[in-house]
Amino acid sequence: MLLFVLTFLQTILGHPIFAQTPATSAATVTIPTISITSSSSATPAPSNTPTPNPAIALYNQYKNDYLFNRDQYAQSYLDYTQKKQIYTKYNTVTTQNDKIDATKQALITRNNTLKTYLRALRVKLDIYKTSDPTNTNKLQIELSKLENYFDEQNTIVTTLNNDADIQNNATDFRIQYIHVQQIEAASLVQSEYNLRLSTLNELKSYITQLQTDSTLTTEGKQSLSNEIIKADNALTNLNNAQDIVNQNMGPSTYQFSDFYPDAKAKLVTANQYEIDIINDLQNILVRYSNSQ
Amino acid sequence: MTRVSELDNQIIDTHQDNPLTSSLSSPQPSTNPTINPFKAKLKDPKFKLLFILSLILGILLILAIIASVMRKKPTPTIYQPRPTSTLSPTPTANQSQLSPIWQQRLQLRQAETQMNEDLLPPEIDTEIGK
Repeated sequence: MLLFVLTFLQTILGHPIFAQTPATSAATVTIPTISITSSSSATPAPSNTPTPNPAIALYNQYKNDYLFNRDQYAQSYLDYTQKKQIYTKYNTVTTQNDKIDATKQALITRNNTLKTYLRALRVKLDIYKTSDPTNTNKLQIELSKLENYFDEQNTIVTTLNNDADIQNNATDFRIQYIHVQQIEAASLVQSEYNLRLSTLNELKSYITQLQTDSTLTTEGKQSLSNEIIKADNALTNLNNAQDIVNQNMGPSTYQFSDFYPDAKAKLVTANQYEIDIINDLQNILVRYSNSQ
Repeated sequence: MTRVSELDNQIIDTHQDNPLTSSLSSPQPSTNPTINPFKAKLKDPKFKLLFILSLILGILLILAIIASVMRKKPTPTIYQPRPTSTLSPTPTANQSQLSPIWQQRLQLRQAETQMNEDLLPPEIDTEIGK
C-alpha cells in the first residue's frame, strides 16, 4: 500500500516540478547581467577628474577638529554628572566647589564643540558656494557671528563662581540655542542645495549641448525634451527646500521647530531626478549617436 | 355453536391495531447482544473488502487534490533577482559604450549625486548648570 502511494506521488508530482527547474535557473543566469551592467555604471569619479576644491581639504580638517572637541565634551560631561551626584549626596562646600569646576569645564567643552561644528559648516558651504552665493554668504555671516558668540561665552564661563551665575548663564544659553539650531539646519540645507543645484546646472548645459549636437539623431534630440521636464522638476524641489527654510527662519520662539527633515525630503527628490537624467542621457548617447 | 366459534375466531379491531394502545404493542428492540446487525455486517468478508476499497479510493482522491494544488504553486525555493536596480527604474546602458569625454562628464555628475554626507549637529545638554 505504501509502495503504491509513493509510486503514485512520484508519478504525479515528480515530472512537472523537475521539468520547471531548468527553465527557472536559466532565467536566474541571464537576468543578473543587466544588473551588473547598471551597477558598474555607478562607479565613483574617474582618476582624471579635475583637481579637488581646496575648501574640501579645509572642511575635512575642521570636521576632524569638531569630532575631537565632541569627544572632549563627552568626557567632561560625564565628569560633571558624577560631581553633581556627589554634591547632591554629601552637600559640602568641597563637593560644591568640585561641582562648579566640573560644570564650567563641561560648559567650555560644549561651547568649543558647537563653535567647531559651526566652523566646519561654514567652510563646507564654500565648496559649492558659486551655485547660490547670496544666500550662502548670509548664512556664513551668521555662522561667523555664532562662532564669536561661543568664544565670548567661554570668556564669561571662566568668571562664573557660584550656582546662581551658572544658572543665569544656562538660561541665556537656552534662548540663544534656538537661533543656533535654526542656523545649523539652514546651513545643512543650503550646503546640499548648492551641491544639487551645481549638478543640475551642469546637466542642463549637457542637454543644451546635445540639442545642437550633429552626431545625435533626430529621435535622440526629441527624447531630450523629457530631460528638460525632469530638470524643471528637480529645480522645483530644490526651491521648495529653500522655501521651507525661509518659512522657519523667523525670530526665535520658545522652541525650535525642526524643519530639516521636510527640506531634506525635497532635496532627496531633486537628487533622484538628477540620477534619472544622468541615466537617460547615458542611454540617449548610446542609442541615438551617429558616431557609434 | 358453529356461528359462535366463527365469531370468536374473527379478529375485529383488536387491541393490537388500536393506535391509542399501539405503544403497548410496538415491537421492542432486541436486548440480546449476540444478534447486533451492524457488528454482524462488519464480520462479513464482502463488507470488509468494500471498506478497504473505499479507503483506498479516498486516499487516492486526497492525493490527487494535493498533487493538483502543488502543480499550480510556483517553486518558492529558487531566488530570482530583479532585473532593475533599486536606484534607477530603467536599466542603463554600459558607460564603456560612451565617448571618453561623455564618460568622464557623466561619471563626475554621478559621483556628485552620491555625495550626501550630512554633518549632523552634536547632541548636547542645554540644562548644564540648572
